Amino acid sequence: MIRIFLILGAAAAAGLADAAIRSPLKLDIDAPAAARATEGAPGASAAPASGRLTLAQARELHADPSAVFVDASLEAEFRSARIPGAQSLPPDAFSGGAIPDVLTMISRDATVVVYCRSDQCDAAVLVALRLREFGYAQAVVFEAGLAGWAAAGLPVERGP
Amino acid sequence: MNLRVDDAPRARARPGARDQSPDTDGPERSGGAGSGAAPWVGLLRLGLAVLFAFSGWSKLQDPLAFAFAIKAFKTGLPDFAVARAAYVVPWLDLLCALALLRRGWARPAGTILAGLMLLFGGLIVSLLARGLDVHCPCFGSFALFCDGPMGACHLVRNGLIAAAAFVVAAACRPGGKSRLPPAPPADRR
Repeated sequence: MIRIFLILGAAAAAGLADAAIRSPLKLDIDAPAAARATEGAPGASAAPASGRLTLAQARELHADPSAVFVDASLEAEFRSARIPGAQSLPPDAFSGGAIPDVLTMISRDATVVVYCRSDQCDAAVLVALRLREFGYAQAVVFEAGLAGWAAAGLPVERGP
Repeated sequence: MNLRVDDAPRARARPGARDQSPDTDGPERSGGAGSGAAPWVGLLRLGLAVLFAFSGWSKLQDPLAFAFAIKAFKTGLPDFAVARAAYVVPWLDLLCALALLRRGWARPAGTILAGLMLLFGGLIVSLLARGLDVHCPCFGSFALFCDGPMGACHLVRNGLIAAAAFVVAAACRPGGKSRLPPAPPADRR
């Protein structure tokens, strides 16, 4: 029994020390800092002031050609239904520190709207945080996701 | 003359005998579980050690992904706790893997891992009941038999790993003797 507590204690100590040494994990998306920096630039009027978009803001950005929509769902889910014009970028695409191919087509200055199936999935936040790590300072999350988009009667693209 | 004494009957005759020697590495002295008496337990320990060393290492490569996997269980843990658990759990995997390699520590390590597997099993059942889709980077990008969102496959896999950990915990007793039937008494003539 003593050894069980020794192992648990050592794991807690090692884990907390590791967490303290590395940069702290951010598990939520904050307002894009670059939105303020690019004020006055083309498309800046649509740049979101928060890390999370409402349906109305997402709709507005969808009409903006400089904004890019990214679907963080699995590839199969993406193929079945998506917001028109969205690119597929599941969290797995970043595994092993890989740079996903789709990023070569997206400018780092663009407002990237990341969404997943519904407000119940966290994949969009994870992908948006990854995008921020890769320099996409204006990556934001559309929280309602595809379910919220479709429920509002907005167009949905289906098929491969 | 054969001086080797089978002390298993003696240990059984002393009530609480196995609880009195928790700090001795008896098995390493006398050849307990996982050594000659039960080589398959040794193999099981080694297999679990490799599995959990890989699991811990792969999670530590990408703590953010693991933190989101924990978060996706929607247990109500605050982000502060999730961010720390994403580091502590992989270290627990690693330390248990290391402990499994030491016979005197295999029992506590097996007990912890079995408990951990049961805990994750319970969480998977709760996920399935709530209809949530969660992808666990339990072994990094390596799927280990189960691909896609967590489901029955992951539950069975967890159950098998928990069973293996239980067997190791049960077989590697502190007194150094396996719970397996003792070898026939040596001929002392």
